[in-house]
Amino acid sequence: MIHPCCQWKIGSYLIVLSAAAIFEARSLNLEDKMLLVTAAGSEPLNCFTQTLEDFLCFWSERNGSHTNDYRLFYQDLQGDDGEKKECPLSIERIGSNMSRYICTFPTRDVSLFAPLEIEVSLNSSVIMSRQDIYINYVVILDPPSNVTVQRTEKPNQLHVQWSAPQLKHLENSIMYEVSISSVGSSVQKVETIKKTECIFAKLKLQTEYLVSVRAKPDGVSIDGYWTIWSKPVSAMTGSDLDPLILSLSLALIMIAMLLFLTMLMTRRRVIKEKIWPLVPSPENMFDGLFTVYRGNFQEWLGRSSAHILWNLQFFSSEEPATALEIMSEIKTFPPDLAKVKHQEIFLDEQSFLVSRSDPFKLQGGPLMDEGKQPAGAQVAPNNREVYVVLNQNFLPGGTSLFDAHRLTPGSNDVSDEEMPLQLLFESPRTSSRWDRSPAGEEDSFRDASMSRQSSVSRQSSLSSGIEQGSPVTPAHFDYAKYGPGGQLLYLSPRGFKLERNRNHPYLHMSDSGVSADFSIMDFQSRRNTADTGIYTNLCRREDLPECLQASNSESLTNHLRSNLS
Amino acid sequence: MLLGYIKPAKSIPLHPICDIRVLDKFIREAKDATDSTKRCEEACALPGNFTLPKTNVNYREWETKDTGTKAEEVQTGLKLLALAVQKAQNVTVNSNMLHLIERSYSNLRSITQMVRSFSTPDTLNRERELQTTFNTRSLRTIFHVYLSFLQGKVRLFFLHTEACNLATS
Repeated sequence: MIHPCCQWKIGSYLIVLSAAAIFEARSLNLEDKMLLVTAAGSEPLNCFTQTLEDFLCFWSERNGSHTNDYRLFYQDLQGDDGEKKECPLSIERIGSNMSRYICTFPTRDVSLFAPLEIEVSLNSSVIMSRQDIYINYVVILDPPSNVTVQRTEKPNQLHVQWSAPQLKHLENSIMYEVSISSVGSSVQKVETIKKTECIFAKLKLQTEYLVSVRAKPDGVSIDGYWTIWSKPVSAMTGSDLDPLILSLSLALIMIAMLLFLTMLMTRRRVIKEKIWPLVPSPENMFDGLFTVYRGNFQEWLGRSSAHILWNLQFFSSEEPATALEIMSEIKTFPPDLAKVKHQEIFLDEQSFLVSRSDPFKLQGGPLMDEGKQPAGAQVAPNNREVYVVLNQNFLPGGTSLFDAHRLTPGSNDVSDEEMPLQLLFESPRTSSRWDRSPAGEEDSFRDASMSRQSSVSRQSSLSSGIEQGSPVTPAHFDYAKYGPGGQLLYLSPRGFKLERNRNHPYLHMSDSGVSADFSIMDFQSRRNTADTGIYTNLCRREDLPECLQASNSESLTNHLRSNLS
Repeated sequence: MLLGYIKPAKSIPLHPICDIRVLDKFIREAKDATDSTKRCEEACALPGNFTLPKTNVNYREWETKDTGTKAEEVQTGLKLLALAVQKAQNVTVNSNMLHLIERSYSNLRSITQMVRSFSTPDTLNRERELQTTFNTRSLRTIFHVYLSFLQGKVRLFFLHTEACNLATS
């Protein structure tokens, strides 16, 4: 429970504080005005009006003892009675040792456009006075409010707008001053106008500006002091880039890029070929190398018609090589011969007559030992193949080839050139000696070999010559086909020149170093001498009597097929 | 076709009498005259009394008056001023002063004409009480009153008369 005395004190303090707060807010503006007026005036006694409906006079002095003795009197010379009236003074402290005396005139006594007389007296003596004060000449307004700064269409312009200070009846008698300055610089541009808006042009781009406005009566019917500057408002000027131009240029750039990309995509292949060119393929220079021969260059050289170009170094006085094709692999020796040693000879089933230690040799194969004549060698019943011996080293010891090719009908003579092939064919004479009977084959074989020793030696010499690699060129080629039993089965339809003028039925084949492929046809066992059932096309040649007696002839069969180049 | 090119003009043309700028020009000239008589003492002393209108304006009182009263006050004051100026003109010998007085007199007559153009006729003949006048013997006072009267009552009357609202600039 608070004491009543204290309650009253507390209440009064609260009231005073709140009043002071309100008064403080209001007086701040007034204080500024008083300061302004004091600064602008030279008289100790200053008077002004704020709205043309109020009027106050004030002076300040040091604290003294005569605080309550001052009196202020005023007189309106055009007033009704013209007497002096007293104005109640109020005192306020400013600073530590200064006091201000303020007289606020009653509103009904505020007479504009008429001279006033004011006196301040102390103890009935006038210490201060003012004569012919026209209230309409001491107007100090509030600063302009609601200052707004906006950008215009042009980027280097700013539009400033504000509200006029409150003034009854004479709003259009106010003039304004607008100050604009860029942030950080001291240069100010001031314009004095009477309207409440203004546009500043030719400003710097992209800079921040501060704008302030103050007001003053224009002086025609009212006059006064400049108001304080309004609070600065900042604004930024625009940039040079017009957004429309910027967007259009961006769109143009996008379209150009799209076009370029599209062109790039369509010409991708061409560009890739230029940047990363393909390795050229040699296919068109080598006809058929990759398609037919699967890249086998050696094969292609051998078969292709274009091989002449590549083989120019071989293109000499030599004849072109002939290729010999073997029709079938030799599996067995001709029965007349094989009877002796076929088991040894034909152990291999290679295309060439090669055995381990047999005298029969083809192209450098091991010599067959004709001396070895296994007794009781029998032709395998299923060995039907004809073989061709191209090696002249075939010794006539056990060779029945001499006999074989002597069985060739009509071929009595043989040229020296055709010696190499003499081994291949039997002479018909030889064949006559052959005994087709299985039992007598061996004997006949021996007989044939013995009778030919002399020719063998001659042939061997020739063969050796041949072996040295001297090439012999056959003009043509013929062949005869004999059955296993030695009967003449077939003669080649071509002109068999060898037969006509030769003593020995020789067929000559050139040896150019190219391996000759030849095929050997099967021939039957010679047991069946009269049987020619398996053979067809027997003896096409009509001019040869032996052909007519093909069934009766006994000869080894040789079938040779060759391709003359 | 010709009418199409003719822009329709304003229904009420800008009346030159109602232009406040004319009044402002007169006020400025009156101010010049007043300034020129600030330092004259002897030359501004005129023989006889001159009756001048009171020029004091109190906003609160002014707002309570109606237009007719305002018009009457303005017209009466202008008449008094014209008489006084004319009387001073007759008396003044100084050539400088005479020039000012003559110019003021012509301006007063113009303003009187302007006010009469938008005033109701029934106020013209009413004489106001003497309370609104006072006497003086100084030319300076005449000019002061003349200026104050123009600045105050006449201008306020000009600015807030309905007939002159269009002309307010």
